[in-house]
Amino acid sequence: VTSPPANPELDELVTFVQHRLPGLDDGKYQLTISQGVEDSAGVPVNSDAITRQYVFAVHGDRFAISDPTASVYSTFPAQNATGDFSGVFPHVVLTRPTYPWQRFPNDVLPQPPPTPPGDLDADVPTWLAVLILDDDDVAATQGALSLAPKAATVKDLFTTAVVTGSTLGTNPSYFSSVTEPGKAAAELEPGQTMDDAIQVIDVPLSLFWSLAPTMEDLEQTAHVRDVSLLNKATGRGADPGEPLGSFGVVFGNRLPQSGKKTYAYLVSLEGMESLLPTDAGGPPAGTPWSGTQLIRLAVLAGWQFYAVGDPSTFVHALLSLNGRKPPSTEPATMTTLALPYAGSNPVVTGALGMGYAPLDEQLRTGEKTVSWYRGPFVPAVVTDTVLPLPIASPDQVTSFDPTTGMLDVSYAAAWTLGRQLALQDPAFSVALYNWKRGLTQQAVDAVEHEVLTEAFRPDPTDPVGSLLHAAMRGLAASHPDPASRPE
Amino acid sequence: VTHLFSRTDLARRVSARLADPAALGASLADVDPPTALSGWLARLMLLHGVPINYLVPDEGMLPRESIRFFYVDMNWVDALIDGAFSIGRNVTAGGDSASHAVDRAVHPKLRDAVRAAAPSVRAAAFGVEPPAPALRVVSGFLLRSKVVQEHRGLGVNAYPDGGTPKDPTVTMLTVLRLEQLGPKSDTILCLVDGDAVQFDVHEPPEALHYGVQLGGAPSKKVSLFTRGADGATISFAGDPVEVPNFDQCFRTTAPRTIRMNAASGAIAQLLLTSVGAGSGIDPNDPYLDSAEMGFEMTEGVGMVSFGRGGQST
Repeated sequence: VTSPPANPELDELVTFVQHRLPGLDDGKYQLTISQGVEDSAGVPVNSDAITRQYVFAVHGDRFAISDPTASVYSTFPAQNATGDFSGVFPHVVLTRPTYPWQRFPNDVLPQPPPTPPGDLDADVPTWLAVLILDDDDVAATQGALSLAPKAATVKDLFTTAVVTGSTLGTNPSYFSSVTEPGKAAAELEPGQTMDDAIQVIDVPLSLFWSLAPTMEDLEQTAHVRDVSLLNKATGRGADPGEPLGSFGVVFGNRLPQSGKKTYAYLVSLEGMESLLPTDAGGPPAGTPWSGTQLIRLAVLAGWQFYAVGDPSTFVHALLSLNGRKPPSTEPATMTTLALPYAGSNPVVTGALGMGYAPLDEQLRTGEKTVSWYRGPFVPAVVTDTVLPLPIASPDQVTSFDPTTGMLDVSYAAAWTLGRQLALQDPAFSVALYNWKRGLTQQAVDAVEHEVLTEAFRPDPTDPVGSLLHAAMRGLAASHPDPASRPE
Repeated sequence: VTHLFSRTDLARRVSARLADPAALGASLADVDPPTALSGWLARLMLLHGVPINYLVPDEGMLPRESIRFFYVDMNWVDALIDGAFSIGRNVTAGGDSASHAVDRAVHPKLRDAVRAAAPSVRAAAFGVEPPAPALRVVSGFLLRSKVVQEHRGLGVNAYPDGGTPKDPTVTMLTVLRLEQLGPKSDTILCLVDGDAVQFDVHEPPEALHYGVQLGGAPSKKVSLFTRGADGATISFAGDPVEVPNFDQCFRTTAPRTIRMNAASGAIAQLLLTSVGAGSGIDPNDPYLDSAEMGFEMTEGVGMVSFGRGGQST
């Protein structure tokens, strides 16, 4: 679904995509190739078909996200954010758009993907859910719920009867259908071990049933957004390398409680279809579990925020910049890079207004003084070119302000900084030095070439000289012309 | 032939050549700076690697929750670049050394190459073609706020005088650098090619959240849409409309928990009654898919325009 931009120039298109299904879901695969030969009547010629088998696995984060900073792009509300979030559904933005559909909440697998010529737009449930909890839930369950995720290992997802040493006991979790100890290992995917560290949360089933999404809800709580990256900032993680970004977004289904600290968790609901509640939030029909039992969920990401205080929206925060107090529409008074100054000295007011700061300087002669410095950011356009380039030395671009008796070292500091940055990077400074040495050599070569050319200019009045010149011209030709010298 | 190869004569002529800018310039006329060097200096021109305290000498200039607009003094940048370029130059009071003369001869070409390479720095990060630079005026802003950390991926558009969205023709200025000054930094530096009179800072579209109106029973206004012939593009029609009985899409046992599928059905019913077949909703399966749902449940992109003479939403 594409929303047309208000102005095509803005190039801020966001495209909502129902789902992006991976070519192969996570799990183990076996590829079998067989070749048989038949004659024209269709009778097999070779007795046994030639077959080969290959086994491979598609790996994906299952009970823990191995690289959270790379996988989780952002959360809303942000970690430790404060604001009026009581009317929003928290969500997680994932860098991999296929991640919400790499596994499935269904009991029976594999979930058949929509294939041509059927309905390609069929809804596919996501296996991820955002669970929203707060202190009131702890009180309502008489403390059976603990909001802090617990450190555990994969074996703690199996009942103790199946894997000895598990802390799950007889409670439900992902592997409730496994009852024989010998079959536990087969449930793990290649690369997983029983001792992999994970984070889990135990939620009383009665609470889980009242909050968890149904299978139908899971078809609605995730989608993909394709957005242009071109007006975004760089500098946080690796550069994207492409102008279009694709993100998977997973939503929570519960509004945060106003005035409370809210705990949000991205949890896996893989294979939990039979544990999910009815549409009204009741226990599933015919469930063998009681509401007082604790369901153990793997926490893939967790964060907290406070649904208190100002309407801490994006817009409100930006309007409050520079000390403004929205909804007042007064323009901000201080919008340039300048030090606040309460005094009345016109010289100081002028200098600070231009972005200067008085800084201590240690002179080369050992004395200490205070000098004016400003960075490259000034409040007005500077179009004049004032510097003698190239600069001979920092002293050449240090100016003296007779009204204050202070030195202005801005350009000298910039020049010295450039020199230091270049020296800091040997790859640059060595390449630059070599290039310059080549330039000097090229100038010298040019002079040498001219000297030789002039010396061997033919003199028509001197027959001996002409002969000598003809001989020597060959010698001069062997001296390379600097213009054709390779770099 | 002894006089032909007089060493003194050669040395005299070499030093004369180095002292004569015009002749030296002619000798080095067809020199192009290596792209590795001009690329490095282009990054320096955009102040990559310059410590923040050189840009903002006192923290009082850029306190928390502030935005500061500026023009870049290209003299300062020229001094910075020349400092880097001065490696191997004999520093003298008068600038009369041979190495200085060579630097002076190639300086104009190097300057042009660096300016031409400047827009490539950001373009390369996104794998797109760099735009042609003007670089007559470079303006920008520093934004220091919690929104930088909390709204990862926020976007910036810069407009020149006469090209803002309020004007008949919109032109956007090339962003030369838009960078968070570190993965955990609360500060963004933006440099644009041209004199920007308006900066629009908007929420990242991928982070638009689902929201409902509270104050009594939860309610939700959605945009009615009609579906194009391709089945994928939808267009709005009219103002947002209240979804009937939206509060019944919440569980009675857990009033803050939404029945997402019921909400999808309620919005689909509204579309069927208000728009009808044009909405593309199947009357036999009256539900939105998750993409349409995402579109209807998100609240609009928050955007703040910073212009001269005040700020406005």
